[in-house]
Amino acid sequence: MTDRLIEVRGLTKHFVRRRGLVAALTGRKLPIVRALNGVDLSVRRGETLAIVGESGCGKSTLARCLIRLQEPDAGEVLFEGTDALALAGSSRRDFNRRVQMVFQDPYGSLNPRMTIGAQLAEPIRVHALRLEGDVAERVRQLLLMVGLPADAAGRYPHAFSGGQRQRIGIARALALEPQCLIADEIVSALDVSVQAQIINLLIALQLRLDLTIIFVSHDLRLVRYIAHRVAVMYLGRIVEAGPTEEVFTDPRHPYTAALMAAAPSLEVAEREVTEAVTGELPSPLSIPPGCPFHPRCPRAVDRCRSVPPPDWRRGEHRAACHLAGD
Amino acid sequence: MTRPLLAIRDLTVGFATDAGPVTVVDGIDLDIGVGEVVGLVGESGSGKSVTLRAIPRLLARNATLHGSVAWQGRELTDLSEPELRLVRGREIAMIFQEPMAALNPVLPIGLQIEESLETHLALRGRAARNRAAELLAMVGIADAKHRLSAFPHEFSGGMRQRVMIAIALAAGPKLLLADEPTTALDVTIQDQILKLLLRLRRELEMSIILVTHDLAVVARSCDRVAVLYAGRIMEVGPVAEILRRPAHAYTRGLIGAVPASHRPRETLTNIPGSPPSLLALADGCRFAPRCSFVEEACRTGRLEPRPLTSDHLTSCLRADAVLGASRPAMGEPA
Repeated sequence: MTDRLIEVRGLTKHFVRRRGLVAALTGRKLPIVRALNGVDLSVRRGETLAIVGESGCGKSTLARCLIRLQEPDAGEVLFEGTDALALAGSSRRDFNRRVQMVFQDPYGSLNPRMTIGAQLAEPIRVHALRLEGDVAERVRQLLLMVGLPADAAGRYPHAFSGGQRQRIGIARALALEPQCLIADEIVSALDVSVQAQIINLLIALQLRLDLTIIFVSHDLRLVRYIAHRVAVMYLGRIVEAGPTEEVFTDPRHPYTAALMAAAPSLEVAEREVTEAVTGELPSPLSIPPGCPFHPRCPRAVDRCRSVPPPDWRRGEHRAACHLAGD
Repeated sequence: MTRPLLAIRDLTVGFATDAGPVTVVDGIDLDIGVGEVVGLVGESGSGKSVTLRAIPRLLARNATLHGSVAWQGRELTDLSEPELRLVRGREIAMIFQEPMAALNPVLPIGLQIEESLETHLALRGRAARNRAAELLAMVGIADAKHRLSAFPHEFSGGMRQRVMIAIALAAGPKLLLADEPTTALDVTIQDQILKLLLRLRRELEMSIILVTHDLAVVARSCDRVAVLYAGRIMEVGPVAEILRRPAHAYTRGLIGAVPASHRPRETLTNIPGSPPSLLALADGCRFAPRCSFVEEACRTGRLEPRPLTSDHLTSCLRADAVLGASRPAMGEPA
């Protein structure tokens, strides 16, 4: 299908812990962190797809594998139908330009000893996107686009607030005129009032530049606000995915329902004493058999403990749960 | 109103910095009743954490503190360090955002709870050990007796926060100061910890001051809330009333900036600009430079919170306009 920009199939990434002395001497088996366990996903041109989940669910690893900051162990990533994992040389560089990432910590990802102008100009020069004489003008455009004053180009990162730094991070990603922006928790370090500015900026840029956005976040409230479609991750798998409103109004996976019940809203509702979900996320070192959510699931039945759940589907809405169809 | 458990009057905390003196908390009044959960909400730099730490005087050396902190009728600001040490932990306890940093990484958690029991209650040996297990069970740690010998690194973030709460509750404090206790946690665990705190407050008849940047956490767990901005209280009152009928332009902006998970894609009102530098504060309302309701009068003098109803105070001169503004911030059907 031509409207698919990115198609991910069976993406798997395991990390093997480095062999310590004790393990080497005793010949003990090395623990394996199963970060991604067969992720299927498709991203359409011009849409915002949100990937949500709690810490350790693999959402950042997925984002990193998509742009090949990390090489997956198995599975495919198709970008406009071509195998992105096989790209090399100039075609890989072109892929790197077209899919850009914005990181959570805008301070950690900016060079403190380079002016903002120099940091925005560098990628433009590396990819030879403008003639040398036009680079300064392009930098000025980028700054305006993200709502920063043009004189920001001459200043260093420390002179900016967290929200402004995140604008710089976005400008730097946009410098390469990407088709797809991967935003990994880009507002979680910001204050609420500033968070809203960045989110609104992202939506405005998407409309203006026809960007495809993959929005990685743990905050369901933001996700409902910004995303067209949403994918919920748990222990390295997508457990539910579909159009945002459908998933929010009719969640089919008990984990999605629990996440939504736990997300605090401004409703001063009756304070329920029962917890949305009991227990904690199991370690990705030892993923439970059957449905990986069963130890915490309020609805778990026998087969959940032994049989991996089938994919339930209704239109574009899918959920990996034995009871999704009930 | 009966005498509050804690009465803070004109609390002012400043720090001497290389760039000159900075007033971080600027004349705050706040009462905490028995068994009440009060939220202190604000963005970074609003002074919420410093206010909390000023109560048991847990402040850095370069801090100066003025005003009054009356605890059950005693003036804490007059107490000497040794006298204060008898209040800290025993009557007023505190938990922090980062439990790993607050726990000793090389001591089993059982010993850390027993240490608290010995210091405050002179409980030792088997009695202390049994009480420590009881406390762990009370904060919802399964198989408590056997977990006493575990080290902090063996616990997850949520479990460590439970351990912190157990240590804080060891001496049976009447007031728990909680500084962003759930900020570092995932939503499902945050939900568990907030519910635990509410259950403990009911069972132990304890009051809680909860510092958070998240209004939704306040909505879920507090009875009253004080909204702070640049070191001053903008608005204070019952949570339900403030969230439904904010009477301060800043509160209204803050509520509008929180995306509501129960309603799709409505525009987030963003507050333009960013919070002011505490080194260069202008006269008048501190929110005025970012406020869409601002008028000339807002830019002069000092605006003190004034009562709107008996328990709802606002310092906003434009409170009537804010209350009358078209779109209700929340709580009414779209």
